[in-house]
Parts: sequence; C-alpha cells; structure tokens
Amino acid sequence: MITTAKATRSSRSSRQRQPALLLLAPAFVVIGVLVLYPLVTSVWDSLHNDSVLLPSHAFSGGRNYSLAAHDPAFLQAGENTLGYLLIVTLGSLLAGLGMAFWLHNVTRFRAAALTIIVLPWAVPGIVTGALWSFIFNPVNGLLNELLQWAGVISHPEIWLAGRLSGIFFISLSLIWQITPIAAVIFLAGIESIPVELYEEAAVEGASQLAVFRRITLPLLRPSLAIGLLQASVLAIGIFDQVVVLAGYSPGSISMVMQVYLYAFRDLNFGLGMAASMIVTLGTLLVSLVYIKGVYREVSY
Amino acid sequence: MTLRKAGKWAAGVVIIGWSLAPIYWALVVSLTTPAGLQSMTLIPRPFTTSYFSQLLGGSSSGPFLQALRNSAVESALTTVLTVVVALLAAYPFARWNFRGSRALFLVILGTFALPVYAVLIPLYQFMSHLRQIDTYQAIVLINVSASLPLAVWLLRAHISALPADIENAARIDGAGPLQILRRIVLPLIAPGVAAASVIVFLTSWAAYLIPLAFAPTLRTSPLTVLIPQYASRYGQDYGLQAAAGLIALLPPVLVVIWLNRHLMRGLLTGALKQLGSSPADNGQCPGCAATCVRARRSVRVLFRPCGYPGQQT
Repeated sequence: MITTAKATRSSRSSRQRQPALLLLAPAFVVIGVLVLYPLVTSVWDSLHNDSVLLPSHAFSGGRNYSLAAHDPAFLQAGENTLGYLLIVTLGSLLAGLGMAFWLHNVTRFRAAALTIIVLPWAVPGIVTGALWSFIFNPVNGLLNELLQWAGVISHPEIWLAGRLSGIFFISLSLIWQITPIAAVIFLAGIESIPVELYEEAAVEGASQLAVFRRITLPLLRPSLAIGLLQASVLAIGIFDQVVVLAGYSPGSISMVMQVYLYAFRDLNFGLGMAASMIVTLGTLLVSLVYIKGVYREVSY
Repeated sequence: MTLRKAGKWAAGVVIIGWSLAPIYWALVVSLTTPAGLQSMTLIPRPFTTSYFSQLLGGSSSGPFLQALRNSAVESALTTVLTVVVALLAAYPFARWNFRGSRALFLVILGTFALPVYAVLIPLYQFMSHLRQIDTYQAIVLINVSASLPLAVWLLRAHISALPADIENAARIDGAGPLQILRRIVLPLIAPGVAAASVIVFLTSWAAYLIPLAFAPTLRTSPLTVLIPQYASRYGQDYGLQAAAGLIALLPPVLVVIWLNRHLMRGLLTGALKQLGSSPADNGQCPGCAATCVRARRSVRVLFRPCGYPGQQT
C-alpha cells in the first residue's frame, strides 16, 4: 500500500516536472540574468580593480573594501545613514502605533480614514521629497511662514542646513511616506488579539498600563518586528528624498547615494560594488536582528 | 467619556492632517502666483493655473509630456510583464510538488531580500555592454526583475488557497496547464492579480534609482528623473515643480483610492514575506491566507469578504 502510494507519487512528480520547468522558465531567466548573474559579478568584481583610472582588471583582494571603509566620505555617509535609520525607525514606530490604535477605535468612516492614511505610501519618493521641500524651504516654505506668523521665529531659518537638523527633517519626509505600511501592519496585529483577553483583564481589575504591557505589547511582537523591519530596510536604502531635499551634500548623503557616486561620478565600479556589498550586508544583518530578537511566535 | 471622545477626534484631525497637509500645501504652491506666496497664505490667492498649463501645453510641456509618456509606458509594460511571468511561475509552485520545487522557491524568496542597489552597478556594465542603456526594454526588464519575487509570492499564496477540485476535473477532461491557468485559475484569483498589479505599478511608477542609471536622456527618462531638475534647472520655480509633482502623484493616488482593498492585502503579504512565514500554513481565504498569518481576525475588519469558495473562516 505504502509503496504503491510512493510509486504513484513519484511518477506524478516526474510527469509534472517538465511542464513545471517550462512555466518557471521565464521567471528564472529574468531572475538569473538580471539578479543572480549581476550579484555574482558584483561579489567577484568587488575583489578586483574595476575603474576607468586603473587599466588592469587585476585581483585586488579586499582592497576595495578597505578603501571604502577608510574613505571619510563613505564613513560620513554611514553616520548619516545610521541617523536616518534611528530616526525613521523610531518615528514610524510611534506614528504607526498611534495611527493603528486610532484606526482600531474608529467605527464610522473607517474605510475612508484608512484610504487617506495609506495615500502617502502611494506618493513616489521623489515627489515626497518635493512635497516636503515646499515645507522646509527657506524662501516661502510653509514651516517658516507658520512659525513667523505665530511669532516663534523672527526671520526664516534654513532648516536643512545643519547636519543633525537636515537629517532630522529629511527623515520626517521618509517617515511621512512609509508610516502607512507600519500602521496597517500594526492594525492587523492589534485586531488579531482576542477580545476575551481584555475582558478577562477588566474582570480582574487590571490597570490600562498593565493591560498594555502584559497583553497588547507581547502579542504585538510579531507585527512590531515586521513593521520595524520594513522601516529599517527602507531607511538604510534612503535615496530619493535626500536627492530632492539636500542633493549630494556630504552632511546628509546616504550610503546608497555614495555607492552611486563611486560608480557613476568617479567611475570606480569596483569600489562602488564593494561599498554596495557593505550596505547590502548591513541591511541583511539588521533584518536578522529583528527576526531573531523581536519576532517571536505567539499563541493565544 | 466625552473627554475621551474629544481626544479621539483631536487625534483624528492630527493624523488626517499629517497625511494630507503636504499634498494640500503643494496644491497651494502650484496654484498661487509668486507674489501671492510672499505672504502667509493657506489658500491659493491670487489664483493661477499658469504652472499647470505651462506643463500640459505651454513652454515647458515638451520635456514634461515626454517624461509623462515614458513613465506611463514603462510602468504599464512592467506591470503587465511582471504579472504574466509571475502567474506562470506561481502556478507550479502552488500546485505541483516536483523535485527541486522547494529549492527554486527559496531562490525566489532570497532575491526578494536583495535590494536593487546590490546589483545596480554590474547591471549597468552588462546593459552598456549590450548597448541597451536608454532603451525601454532595459528599464522595463530591470523593473520586472525587481518586482517579480513579490508578485510570484503573492500569486502563489492566492492559488494555493483555491480548492484544487475544479482543476483536477478539468485535467481529467484533458485541459492543459496553460488552459487551466487561463480559464479556471485566473478568474478565481482576480483579487490577487489586482493586488500584485497595484503593487508592481506603484513600485515602477515611483522608481528613481533604476531610471537614474539606465535612462540618461529624455528618450526614456520618466517623471521621477525629470522632477528633481525643476528646482535647479528652472531656478527657484517651486510652482512648476509643485505642479509637476502633483501630476506625477495623481495616477498612483487614483489607483490607491480605486483599489485600496487589494493594495492593503498586497502590502501585508509583502511584509509578512520578509519573515518567511508561509501563508499556505493556514490557507483558507485567499485574502486571509495571503495577508494575515497570525491575524486572521483582522482580515474581516480590514478587508471585505472577497467571495471565495470555502472562504468562511
């Protein structure tokens, strides 16, 4: 009996293999040629000289990596990116939780509210940058106009000029754009917590803070991990918003922008690939931290 | 209790205001004369439509309309091609258990975790070697490669949630896999196809880094590449940039308003995918299975029932 089942299964499996591979072929051609092949090239070429300034394509070991790791421009870009990462993650965590808890309690016009909250996510990064530049502009920017009108400041400030304030305000534009994702994920998490747990807690006379700390927060962990992971990956890869709001200025340039400059301004492709590998590894590392550290299976 | 209600309303005003204010302010900037912007104003006064008419028919319309056309062509082709290729791949992954299927699916998952910038430079060398820089096909194919893993994942989840009975019956009647896919599966997973299309369209419409490298001239460069240039090339003409930005955000915003439900499902699926949770594990409703691995309850609240057989969970 068992052998018959096995035989049927394996013959079925081999009968299915050929059409399966045919249907999979287009997808794997695209991924093989445009993702896997370039990825292998990237790793390989980052270990070689590959620059218009260096005629030879000789093996250079970790030289490109150590060049990037010692380049003040790349290090500063790394510091800036760390700033974006911290501010954007924290900002979209708080704003996302706020929106999610608010939506959770909204009964009327819920669909409309959800649509409005999601809208910023649909706005392209470049346009997001442009929208916020009209707010932060020293000339006729909304922020300056409002603060002057309210009498908080007497003359227009250049908000994006300082390094810290620049990174903060650029982060704000990314937070605006990506918080909807976090909010939707958190909302799904909040609404999956069984109401009975809250009812029981109410019977026991637990305080609101205790309910939040003992029930909501632990059961929300998987959602928090997913939301934070998304925000972090997007923050590390920040590009569009910075280009529009601050250009390629050293005070706010991100690591991916520096990768772009290595390759397309300096035409040092080997260095660019090494730098891009560093950023990619960083992204994977951060993802791993969330998956191992924050994400936990929960059961109700 | 009334205090609580007031707080809820206040929070609502802040949240809705935060979400809409930057778009509204751009509308004010794009519809106010330069003189009007000199003083504090929250409504467009004196009112002008000159920026929009400049872009859509006047002095600056040439490059703008060309870039708009490029954006439309590239994202439409990307969306159609991605969904077709993803659908073909999603079917065997969802239905057939052949040797190597797990390993191949892991490859798809692995590529999803890879950011575009990781392969940008070798791709550029590759494409310039083939003399494909500044062509629609290069940009579209690279866009497709970037969106494909998510689309495969999403469609696979929707297909595996369908009962296989109808397909089996059709196969006994002699229908081939492509026929089954087109006649039976496709109509049933329409919401999944909509979700995948929306996400792919939004991603490729917003793409900046890819066209920045591969679309150096107006022959192929989309709106996202043109818009940053308004601030520098045309002086401090914020009105023009605001009008251009608003036109660029109109298609995605309309799509979101129109297909919001599907978008939510796609968003959540994409997010869950990064953790490698398999929606097939508790696959009942395609919507639930695809979106909320551990959050099935919320699905009923977030998404209206999608009318699947066997969906009542």
